[in-house]
Amino acid sequence: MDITQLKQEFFQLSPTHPPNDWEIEEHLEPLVSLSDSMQDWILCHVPAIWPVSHSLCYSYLAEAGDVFTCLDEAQRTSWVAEVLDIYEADGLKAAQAFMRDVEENFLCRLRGEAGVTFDEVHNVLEPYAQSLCQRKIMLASGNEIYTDTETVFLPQEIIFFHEEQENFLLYKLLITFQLGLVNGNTYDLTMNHSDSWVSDIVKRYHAHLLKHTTQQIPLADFFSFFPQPRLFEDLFCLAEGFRVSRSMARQYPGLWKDSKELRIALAGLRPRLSGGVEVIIDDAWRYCMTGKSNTHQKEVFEVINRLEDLSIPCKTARDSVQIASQMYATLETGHYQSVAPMYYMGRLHLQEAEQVIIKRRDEVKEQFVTALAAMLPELTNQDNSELVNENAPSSRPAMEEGVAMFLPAEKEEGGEGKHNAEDNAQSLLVLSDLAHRFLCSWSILRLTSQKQCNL
Amino acid sequence: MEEKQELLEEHIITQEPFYLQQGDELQIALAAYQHKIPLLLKGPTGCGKTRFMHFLAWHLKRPLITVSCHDDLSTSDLVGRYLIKGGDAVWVDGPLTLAVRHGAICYLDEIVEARKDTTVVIHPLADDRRELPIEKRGELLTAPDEFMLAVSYNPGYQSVLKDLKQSTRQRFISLDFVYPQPDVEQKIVQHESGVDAGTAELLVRLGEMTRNLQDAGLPEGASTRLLIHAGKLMASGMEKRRACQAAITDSLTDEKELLVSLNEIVTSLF
Repeated sequence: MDITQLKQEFFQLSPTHPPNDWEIEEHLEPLVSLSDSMQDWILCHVPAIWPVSHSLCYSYLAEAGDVFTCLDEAQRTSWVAEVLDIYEADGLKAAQAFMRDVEENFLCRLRGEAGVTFDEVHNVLEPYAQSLCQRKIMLASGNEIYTDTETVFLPQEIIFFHEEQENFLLYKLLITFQLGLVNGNTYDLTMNHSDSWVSDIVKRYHAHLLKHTTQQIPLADFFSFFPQPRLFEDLFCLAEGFRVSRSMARQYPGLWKDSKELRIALAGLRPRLSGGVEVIIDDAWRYCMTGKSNTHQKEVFEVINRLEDLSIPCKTARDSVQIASQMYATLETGHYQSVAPMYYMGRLHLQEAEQVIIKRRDEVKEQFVTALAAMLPELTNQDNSELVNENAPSSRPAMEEGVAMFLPAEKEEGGEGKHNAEDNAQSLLVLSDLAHRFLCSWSILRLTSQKQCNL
Repeated sequence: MEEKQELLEEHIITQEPFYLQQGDELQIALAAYQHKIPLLLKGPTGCGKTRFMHFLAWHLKRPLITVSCHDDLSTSDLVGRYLIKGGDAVWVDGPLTLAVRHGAICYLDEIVEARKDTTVVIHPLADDRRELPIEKRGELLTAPDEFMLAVSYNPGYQSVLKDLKQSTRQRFISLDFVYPQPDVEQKIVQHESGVDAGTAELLVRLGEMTRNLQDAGLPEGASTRLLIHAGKLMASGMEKRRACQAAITDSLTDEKELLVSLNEIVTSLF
């Protein structure tokens, strides 16, 4: 059909509110070069679009030629239906954007490729992640899913599901869970030598404590107390994963509800294991994700019962360690092959997290020292120099510009290491005043830092 | 005179306003009243400054005259002006003069919004002179013991152009308001909106989450007031996510991506 025939055809198809002759000619121009059958295909949808929106119809005429060459006949009709749906839901601009890229917006989805890339959603997810934590949180793409407590590492692309929205939801679930571990203090946990149950474990498994000069044992080191550290680590991850999941369900019920089908699907994607302790742990993971267990195995029920103890809001990461050690005692086996945790938990990178936490604490310390250094001359100039000059014995240096703050206690002349009580009391008064200010400043800074950094 | 009395009665708060104390703010305010020192209330929007003034006025059984300050607020708007009535020029007291004459509490809300030359009029009233000069009438009013001046501002909006002058701020006793602790805020939201405890808890969590975005895209997080608005919509039967969108997220920003993020926060909770 030439342009005149196309116009006539168009006017027949759009009897209500027909456009001006000169106006439609411009919009039909791109169709002239197409085959007659293609022209018919394009025009046959005009009666459906024209009454909805004239602007939408003009955009359709501009795009349809290119789009229809990529689609078969059935796909063309569903593409037009989707254009109209998008127009109804989100307006003209959204429909125009949809029409512009048929490959990305339509065909990929038909092929089950509605993946979402990190770069596409990063700008939306970063404020979301920030809202979950009081201190600065960053997102980055990486090969593994984990957090070092400052950055959450996420997959570059998620293509598990056909719907883009579901893939996006999985990103959201990943972030919420990873920050659930941070907010749940999983990475801050250390074991105390003096706790009786820790001592019991040390005795039972003949673990040696020589490496640990302080009372606190980092979690990663605690794993090595067990003959099968990998089994214990997996059991701890299971317990902690369950505790954080339950906490998420309480704190973010909307996300938990929205992600129900998604979690069931993810559980379904886990490979079925053949036997042994691995199956028990895998079943427990499935229960953790779906809230359901399809097995009748007694050992699985026992594990689930122990995990349920962690459902109570007041439970901590330390309770997870205790539950994991109880489970270990019953599940210890000759050979164990590590079972993958649930997808959105990833693996704990405890040492990396520890490094970041130490670095953050050092930064806070440095901030404190800088703040104190700025404050001290002011404090000492105000009144302490007078106090020191009045009270300090002549043999002692006077406090100058914030230096010589802590004076060592002097011995009595000719004494045998005894302190001069009166002099010492005066010194103590001077020092305690400064120390008091020091401690006050430190407390304020520490509180501020804790609030900001959630150390 | 009767007309004025009637006018003043409108400002008397007869029913106890719902106010949960966050700390010692009432004790400080009462001490300030006793010593005739004006009050400066600082804090983010919707955190309860105005409600506190209502509560204080009710507690002291004094009328509360509130003036919402703005760029065009002139001294005459506060002090009063001559109006033509039936061919005569009749003096009409402004809210500040009315409060001073009758020993009411005058609350200048968002004082930094007013022009600086306007705020100077409160200087003699805010120190130990407690006087209000009415230049147009050649009158000098001395405030009775019952009179109290209170002003408020939001330090979050502070800028070089909109800051309180030192000569003004150093006349006041300051009360620094912050958003209430979660348990207190939950009770407030529940009481004011009529939602159940669980919904109020989630609304408060939503407030906290948006406040974590302060300086990370949002100038301020959702105020208690906005949480109450959302709660009211929910209590009236509106779907919870839609209520949060209408009452909170759409009010917080127009930035498209941030709005999507905020709505994702909402869908995580409701």
